[in-house]
Amino acid sequence: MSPPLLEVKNLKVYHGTRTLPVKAVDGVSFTMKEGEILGLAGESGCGKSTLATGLLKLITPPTYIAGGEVLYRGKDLLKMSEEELRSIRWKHIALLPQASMNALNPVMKIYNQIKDAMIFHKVSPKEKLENYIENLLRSVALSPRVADDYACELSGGMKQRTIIAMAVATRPDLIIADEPTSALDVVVQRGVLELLIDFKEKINSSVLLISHDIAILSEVADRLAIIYAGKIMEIQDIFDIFNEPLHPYTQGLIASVPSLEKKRIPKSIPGLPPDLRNPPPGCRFYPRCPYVMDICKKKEPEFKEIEPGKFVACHKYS
Amino acid sequence: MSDLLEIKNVTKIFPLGGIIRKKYVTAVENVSLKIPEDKQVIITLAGESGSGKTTIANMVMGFIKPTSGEILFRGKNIWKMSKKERKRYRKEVQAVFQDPFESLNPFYKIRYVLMGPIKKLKLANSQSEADKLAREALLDVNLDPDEVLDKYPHQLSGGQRQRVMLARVFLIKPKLLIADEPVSMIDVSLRADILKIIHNLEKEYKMSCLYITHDLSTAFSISNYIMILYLGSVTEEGDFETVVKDPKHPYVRMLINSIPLPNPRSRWKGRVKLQDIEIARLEKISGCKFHNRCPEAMPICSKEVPPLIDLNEHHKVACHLYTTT
Repeated sequence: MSPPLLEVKNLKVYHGTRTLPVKAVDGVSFTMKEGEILGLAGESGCGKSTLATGLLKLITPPTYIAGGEVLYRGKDLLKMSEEELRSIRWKHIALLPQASMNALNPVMKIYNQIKDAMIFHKVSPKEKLENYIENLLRSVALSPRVADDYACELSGGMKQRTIIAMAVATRPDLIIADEPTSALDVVVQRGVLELLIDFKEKINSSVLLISHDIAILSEVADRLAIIYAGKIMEIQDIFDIFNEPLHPYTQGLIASVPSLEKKRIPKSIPGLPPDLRNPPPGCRFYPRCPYVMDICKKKEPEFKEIEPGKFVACHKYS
Repeated sequence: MSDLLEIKNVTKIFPLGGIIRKKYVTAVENVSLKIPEDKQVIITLAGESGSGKTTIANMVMGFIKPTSGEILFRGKNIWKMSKKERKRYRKEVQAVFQDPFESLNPFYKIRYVLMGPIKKLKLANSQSEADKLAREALLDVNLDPDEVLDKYPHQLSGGQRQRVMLARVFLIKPKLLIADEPVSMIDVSLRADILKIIHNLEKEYKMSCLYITHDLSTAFSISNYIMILYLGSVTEEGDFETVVKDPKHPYVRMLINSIPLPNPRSRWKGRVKLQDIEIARLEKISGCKFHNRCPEAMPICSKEVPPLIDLNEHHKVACHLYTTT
């Protein structure tokens, strides 16, 4: 059996401070299959973006990897040299960073930016490069003349689509999209997400889609992972998790989202997320949990598969 | 009886640079809205970025002057008020903004933030009375006065800061609250608290609210009436539930169909067509502003501006599809 596309084992990414490190990602494990869209949802400050950059070791001090493995087709990315990593990034695993509107080089024309990446990664399309880039831009609903523009001449949605075009130019196996639509209007947001999905189908890659908005993830994801205070609390099939959320945090999160389907005031989760320098002992959610038991305050629940495909870290299920 | 607030055919045109040939942007065009005096309502003013919703809020607050049209408070134009009337208007109309960190001065403790209006509007006769008022206001927004009063804004979370802003509003007890994206910077799990407070305004404090947002799902949970803007013009307005369930304007249909529902069983159907809409924004669009994106555009749409017509008592739309029958 060939190894899975991506297997993350007990990954820890900390931000060093003068006193205690901020444990932004603290022992995260999950697996990604070929061709799936895995949604990753969580509140701000729970480690979503740190996880995205940590997976590709795109971190700079004081952030550091404190342990774990990131296996891409069986090879540990974290053990690779910078040189080897550079050949994997973008070509095999592409990252759409958060605020990717600012990720474009302001003094380079779009055409040259795409060309650079393709030459570096030795991607040689069958057709001429100009035509390839032209078609690439067309496929994200941009006019080919965008190739001659600078980033400042494009609107937010157009920049976002340019970034998607660049990310898929090298036909990666895995796209890590960190809040790809957070600053866009709803209609454009839908359009951009649909493009990303269409592309994923076309080049048969997988997407790790990170968002704070579970409504968006429910539209497109196949499975959903919920992260809280640096730990994954639950992973389930998207239909199952909305039908029967297991973790109390997931239940609270789903109840806190307003919907146009039914008029009701959403419920909030009392309390605040913990300080990640000094997280509570035991389960990190216990101070806000309505079902808290004695064991929750002492022992950290294990993240395990309670039924096929249903992963949860909660003492209620052990 | 005159209305509490009436926005009457208001238009705002901003000049843009250009030394030789000045350019203009019409941010708001011919918008009218009434907020009744005798009934408390939460009215949603919705639209995408650049639709003019914040410009309307700024005009209602008196920060910018409309190019044409009037804003009437109890029948009186706010730009023709005496100093005394204007002060009263300031007391009766209060605002909460998107970023609660920007609206709080970082050098002052929360106590100072709340004492300001008490002194300015002479709400209390003594220091102890002022203190009591401040404490009550904080309790109203579920904040612990002992914990919060002597803190600086940076020591509070975003949700707490926004609640401090609402506590200030409760102190002043205005007739109308202008809430411009009050929850968009706050985490989902904490938003509901703020929404509940705004929702209670209506009942407990006899306060109306003009709720300005791009997020229809959140607005839907607390508001009963909606007005949807597109590039500065009203496209559709009416009872919120009616508009959501049965949108008439092609733009509103597209908008509502693009809002994600937290339910994997009802996913988006088909694909939306993306166009480089922002390019068109600076050019003056004749006729209906949506005609160049509209799937149902007719020849008349590019020539004449569609009037806002009543479909029934609780539903108005500005679209030629409904004018010709």
